[in-house]
Amino acid sequence: MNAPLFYMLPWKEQLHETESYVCIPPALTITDEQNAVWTLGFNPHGNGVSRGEFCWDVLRNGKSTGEFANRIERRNKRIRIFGPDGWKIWTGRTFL
Amino acid sequence: MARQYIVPMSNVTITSTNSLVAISPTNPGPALEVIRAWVSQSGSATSAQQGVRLVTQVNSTAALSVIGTAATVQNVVGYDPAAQISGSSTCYIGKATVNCTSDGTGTKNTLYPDAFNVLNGWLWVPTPNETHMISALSPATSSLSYAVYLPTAPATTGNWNAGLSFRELG
Repeated sequence: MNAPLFYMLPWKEQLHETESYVCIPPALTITDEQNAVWTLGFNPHGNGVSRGEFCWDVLRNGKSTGEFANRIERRNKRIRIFGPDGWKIWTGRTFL
Repeated sequence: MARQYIVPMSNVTITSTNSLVAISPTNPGPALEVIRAWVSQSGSATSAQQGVRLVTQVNSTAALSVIGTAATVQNVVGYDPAAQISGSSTCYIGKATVNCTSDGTGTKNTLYPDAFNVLNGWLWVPTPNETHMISALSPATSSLSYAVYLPTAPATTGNWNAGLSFRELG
């Protein structure tokens, strides 16, 4: 799939910022203070399973970040992902 | 790995309490393994809770099936062959329908009830052992459809998104 789906893209203006402790899933998207929309994509990691759960690519505004995760979490104004390599935090440019 | 497809509904005005996205396996044909479902809206910035269900429905004839807009079944992997189910305004055997305006008269069976806040949307990703499998019915004149369904009407019906992701088995 090349074209991002509508829900993956930021709204035209910043209408809300996702609260802390919201997690994807069960939420579909997380919107940060820069109006960036985070969600899980459709490309699986390896055979698609990591740590007993499905593992998908992490999208920011509909584009892959290069990382894969079971879940994405908003915590204390930070974006965290949990995937094959454990927890990582978004630094503004990459996940560490 | 089995081929994966998605049936998206993007940025539409929905019709009250009807199915948002519905699929039905072909007969004869591969069973469908549902591995993801999602719902969201961008028409309102007001926090509100919304119920959602994943349901199956037995439809004895096409005339009694879920009716809406023909869906576009998309490949996740571009070079895969097209899915065996295709879009139709009637979600009967081997069809996919979105933004349904009538849910027909078949009895719904709820597989997964849930609720979500409309500002965050809803994503259902089961563990590999909890995926939903749907296959064709016997006799071949009946169909089993699987749908994302809103049991109560949302406060705002504009700008809704929804979808199902499935694999064709066998």
